Amino acid sequence: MGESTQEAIERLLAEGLDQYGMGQVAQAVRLWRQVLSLDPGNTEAREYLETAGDEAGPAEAAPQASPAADHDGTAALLEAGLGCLRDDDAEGALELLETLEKRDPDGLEVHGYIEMVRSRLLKQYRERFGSGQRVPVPRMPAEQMLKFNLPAEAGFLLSLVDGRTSIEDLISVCGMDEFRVLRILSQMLAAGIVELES
Amino acid sequence: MSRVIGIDLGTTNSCVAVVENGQPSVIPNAGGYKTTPSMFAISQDGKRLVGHLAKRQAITNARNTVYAAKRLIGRRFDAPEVQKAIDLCPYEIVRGPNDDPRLRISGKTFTTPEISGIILREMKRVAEEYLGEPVSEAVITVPAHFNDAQRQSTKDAGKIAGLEVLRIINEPTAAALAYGFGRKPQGEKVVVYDLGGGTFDVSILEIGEGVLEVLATGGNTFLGGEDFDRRIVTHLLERFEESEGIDLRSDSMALQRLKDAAEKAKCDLSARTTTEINLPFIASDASGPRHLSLELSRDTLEQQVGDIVSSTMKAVEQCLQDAQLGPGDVDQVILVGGQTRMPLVQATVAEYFGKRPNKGVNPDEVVAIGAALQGEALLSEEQNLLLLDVTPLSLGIATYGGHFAKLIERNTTVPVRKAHIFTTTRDDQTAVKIRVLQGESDVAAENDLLGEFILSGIRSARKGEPEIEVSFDIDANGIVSVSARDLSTGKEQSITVNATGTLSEEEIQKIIEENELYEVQLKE
Repeated sequence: MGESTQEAIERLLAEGLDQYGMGQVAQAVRLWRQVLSLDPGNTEAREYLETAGDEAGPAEAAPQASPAADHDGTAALLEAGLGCLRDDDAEGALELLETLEKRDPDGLEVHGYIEMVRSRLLKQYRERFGSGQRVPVPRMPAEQMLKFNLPAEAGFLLSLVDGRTSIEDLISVCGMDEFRVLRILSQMLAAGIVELES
Repeated sequence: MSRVIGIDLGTTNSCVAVVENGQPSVIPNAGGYKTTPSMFAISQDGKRLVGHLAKRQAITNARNTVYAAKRLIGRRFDAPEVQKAIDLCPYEIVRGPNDDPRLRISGKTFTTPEISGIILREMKRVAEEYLGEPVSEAVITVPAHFNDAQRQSTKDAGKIAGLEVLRIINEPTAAALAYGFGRKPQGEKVVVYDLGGGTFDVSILEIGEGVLEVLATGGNTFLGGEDFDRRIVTHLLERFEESEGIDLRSDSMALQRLKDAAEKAKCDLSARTTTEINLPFIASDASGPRHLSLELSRDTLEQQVGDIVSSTMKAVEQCLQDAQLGPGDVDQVILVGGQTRMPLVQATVAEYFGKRPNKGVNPDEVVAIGAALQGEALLSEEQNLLLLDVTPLSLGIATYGGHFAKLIERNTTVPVRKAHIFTTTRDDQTAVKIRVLQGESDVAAENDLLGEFILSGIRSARKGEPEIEVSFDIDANGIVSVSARDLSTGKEQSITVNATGTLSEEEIQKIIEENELYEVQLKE
């Protein structure tokens, strides 16, 4: 069953707190601003953003969906996703669009946007990671990693990160496509779970 | 002069060694490991993976990962071992044009010598990187029970890898060679207990000064360390399901991690009595990520695998009977294969023979070391190492009524030549078909067909009168040649047995060219 708008809000709030707790303020702010895109009056998100030193301006600037025509919040989510995209936040856009895709796996419009965002992100990841010969290295002990909310797929990829295997080889051995591998690595890099050796 | 390398081409792992300044040593690969998994895969992005990389995706990309090709090499498609592998292996095994098993992965079909050739080429590359010079000659080891076709196919694999195979030697013989290095054992009877990743072999040898003679061999082609790992994985799956209520049996990523962790835990428990297994984020559900974290004790492991260890001793008993020896007649027990590091294995073997196994040799490296020593000896003018192996199976021909006439009994020392006189079964019969078989059954059809040929031009006579001498020659590699001669006319036909499933020169050349093309593509 797909994630409701309220569930998405709760998840984004919690993930934002996780990121904030780990010192990833920019990530946290991005997530809380996504909450305001979905629910501009959300007081929790506003308080968090204030604490983080962000005045929550973009919430007003974000495109608004028409509440009357959007009983399940689909239009609002789509608008929020496209808003992220306009703000050059492809990661945030993809998260919201994937939430929509889970609700309606056959939705061609959403699928098209997802492909576009993936393509844009893949280009960004490739620029960020450079040569596929670079080697990711675990940066923290296993027990410290447990505080993160990683999916099993990321756990599997992390188990293959041994400080010897290059990104290119990880893509070959893990069974996931290049985009998924680079996306997970990018998230783990941002969270400080891994670092890259050149 | 280029150096000869010794290669232990294992079912699960392979190892390469060389003699430098008179001392044998194992060559580590680029990752620092002294053994390389005998695995080949084509990844989902179309890349060819060999060794550790292939192993790391063996479960998540199971259909396109070949392991244990050694169990199939040189066999016919209908052989029970091949049929069993079809049931057990996730990759596709199909019938080849020569009735041989072929492996289809990622839409491409490979012969078994081709797969072994890929592994051998990797070992050659490891050696060349280490030595900093090209390597073109090798001694390769095979299980003592390998028949002629399996030996020939292994030679083909060497050729495909770009190696001239100077000698194929039996694994226990190589182990004994390494054991005897620097010592002068006199008339010792040695048991080589080889529990590798995928197979179990036991051999009894007699070692004299410069002479090694295999007295008997036995074992189980489908028993090895992998079975131990599977038991641990099952245990972990059950424990995780009990504690978390999640069944991971159909989750390939989780299974890959469990398999890797099981192997590591097993190794840890050879050195300590308990070990921690921690697999964070192994699963996730609505409540968030789940972690597997538990302690495994040596006692628990031994409970899980005790029956496997016991089953190896039945093969040991049979082998001793074949050699007409008792446990007390054995002077030394050499342990080969990483699984023999397990204390339960060592204790079981020690209890049976009433003596502690020899610990002077490294069980992972001893076979490759022996092969390297043999390679060095073959180059040396002194030739001071003489290997006397035995034929693992009886050899003979099919005779009238579907019987099997044995000309050379199993466990006969090679090289050997034996001949026997046969005759015709009909009046005026001018040709006979010689069907060369290998095996132990008195019924011809129940043995392996190594090859066949027709001797024509026999003198026309009443049945039973012509005298046809059939000779068998087995060389030091264990490779069989057969000839038949009509004693009255002198007419003769002979073959070097090219058994079903082995490759023709043209096929080998084609594979080499394909591989060369692939190498070029890789560099682009």
